[in-house]
Amino acid sequence: MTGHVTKPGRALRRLLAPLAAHAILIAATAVMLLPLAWMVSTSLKQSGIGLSRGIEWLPWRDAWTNGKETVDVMVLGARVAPGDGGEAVEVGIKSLASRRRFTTVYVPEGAFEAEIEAWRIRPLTGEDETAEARWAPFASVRRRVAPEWGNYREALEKMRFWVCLANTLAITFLGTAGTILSCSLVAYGFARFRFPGNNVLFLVLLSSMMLPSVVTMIPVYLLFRELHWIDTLLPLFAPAWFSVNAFAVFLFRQYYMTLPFDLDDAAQIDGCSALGTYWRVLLPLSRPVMATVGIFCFTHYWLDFMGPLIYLNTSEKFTLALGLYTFKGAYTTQWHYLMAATLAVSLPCIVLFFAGQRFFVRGVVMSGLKA
Amino acid sequence: MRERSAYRRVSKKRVREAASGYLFIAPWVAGFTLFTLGPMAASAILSFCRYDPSAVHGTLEWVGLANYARMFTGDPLFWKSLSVTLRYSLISIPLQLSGGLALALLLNRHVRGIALYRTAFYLPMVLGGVAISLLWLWLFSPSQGLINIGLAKIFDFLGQDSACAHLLAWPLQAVFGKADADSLLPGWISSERGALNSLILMSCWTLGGSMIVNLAGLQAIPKTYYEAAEIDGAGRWTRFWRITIPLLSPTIFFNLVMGVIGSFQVFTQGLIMTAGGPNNSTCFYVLNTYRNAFEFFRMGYASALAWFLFVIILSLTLLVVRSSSLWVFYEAQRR
Repeated sequence: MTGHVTKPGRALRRLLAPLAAHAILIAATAVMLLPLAWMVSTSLKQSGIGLSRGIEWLPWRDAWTNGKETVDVMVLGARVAPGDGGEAVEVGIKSLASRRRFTTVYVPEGAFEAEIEAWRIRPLTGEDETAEARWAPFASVRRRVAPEWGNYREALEKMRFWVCLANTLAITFLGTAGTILSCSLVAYGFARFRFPGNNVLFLVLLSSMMLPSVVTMIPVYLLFRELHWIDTLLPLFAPAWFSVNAFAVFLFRQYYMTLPFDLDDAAQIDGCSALGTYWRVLLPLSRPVMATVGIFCFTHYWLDFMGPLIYLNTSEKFTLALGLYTFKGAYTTQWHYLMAATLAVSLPCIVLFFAGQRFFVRGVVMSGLKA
Repeated sequence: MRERSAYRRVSKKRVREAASGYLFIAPWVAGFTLFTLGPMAASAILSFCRYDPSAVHGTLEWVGLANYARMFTGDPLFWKSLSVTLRYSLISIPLQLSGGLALALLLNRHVRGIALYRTAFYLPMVLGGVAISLLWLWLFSPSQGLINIGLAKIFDFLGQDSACAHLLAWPLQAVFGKADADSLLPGWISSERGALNSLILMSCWTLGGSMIVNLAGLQAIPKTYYEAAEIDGAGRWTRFWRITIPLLSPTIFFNLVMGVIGSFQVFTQGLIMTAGGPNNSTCFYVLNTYRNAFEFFRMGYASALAWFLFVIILSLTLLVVRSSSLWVFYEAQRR
């Protein structure tokens, strides 16, 4: 009896459950992605009024036409001003080509209010004749979707993007290469050789992962100052060659532990030295870990902020993260530039994330499960 | 006799093996001494000294416990920054833990395109601190930011003076401050009351990290446990509390430890978005330490601050690790 009643209910449930799941997931994803979409949208907008028009996702642009030619303009704003026939609204328009204010239009207030909506200016029709002449240019201010790609060019130029990019690439490459080489070598030592203190030292290495970097920050700074390395890129990647990334050592060691000793024996019978075994056999086999560590290091060095902030002084040496920070200081309210620069700086990491997502996720997961 | 030489040969081989081992880990030993052990000792010594490297006579002067005395008795900003960081950690860690778990549960299902959803949630993690800070600075802008424009539209829709609008605005403004005196809009990072809470809200945008870890933990739980429990008549809720939570506890433990270590070192947002303000309401502990070291060049005092933070993080981590035997369940231990 009850089975008979619940059967159609269960079928309906089976049909609706995935739909409900999708609805919740889509809503949650939208909330997560909305800020990113707003960043893209802002980066393509006109400056000035383009930024304060309210929620507009598409980059609208105003164009003024007198019937023959069309000029891109920027509506600067409107204010109530005393006109010939009493109160009027003054609209300031700036030509984008000449960068000069080229016209202001007077419109009787009532008519204006009725036709303008969130800076959207529509053609006016059927009003009194004398006013029509004045309205004519104003009536032909229209809007079209026109992304301001130039924002990117200007923002990148203003923050000295290419200089910063070269520095960041150098640090990222040298830091990542150093980490992979030195950490895999040290991991080989921990995984393949018996020596007194092996386990204790490995525990020390693991616990150093928990050490807050603030504690060592000041003496390490003083050390680099003694070496006259301040305002050079050296302090940012040199430590990587000394296997300071305990997490990477851990990942390599765990991986080597899963490889059979037979491999080493076979290599040694073939005449490989210990170093040769590492270089010719184990390291090539550890490509998945290299990819994981590589992606981790790439994002770490690319995004590192505190290091460059402490060690770099002159703008020729700046990294992208630091360049972005100083750019923000100089162009506080130019959000279209700021968002364009932010997006340009993060884009390589986003691309890398999509390309190597598998390794990325594996790294995060490994860090979580084995700890 | 024969046995002995064999032993000697083995032991010789052992010595050689050990020597190679030490040789291979030498880079780490050097790096650890140069960049971790040495600096830790140096910063401990510095914390008892006065040292200004920018001064003409940048001398090291032993001052005993003066730095620590000043920290606890003579520096109101120390207490302020400690309380800011504690408040941030106390609220954001539970939010991160529960939010990350909820997201993982939401994403741990077999529906079409689930990988895409997971990607979307993880994406903010790869932007980095500076980019995230700049983006949210724009979103939080009181007059032009997306959040307040959206809220203004909602208030307009409800009617500025309607009870509904006020009912919505009141809790928002209680947590996130006021944009200005007679506005219904929250002030977010521009108000003293709301700045820290806004940064906590922002930290929820990067839940993706703990979500991924939780998701892996969830997927490692054998399906048979759930099936067995279902046959025994356990409901959804019981299965969650009796199977999911205990088997996920090592993952939660890891997230908790990482959360403590991470949230006590929050720095970038405080510097970029609010510069510690308004009225030091987001002057995080590490930001205060950084300023003392690299803006005021009080390296000795900053070292004392750093060491105190280290002691706090270390004791909290030990506390979590010690308590873990009470609430973390390792399957292997049962046998």
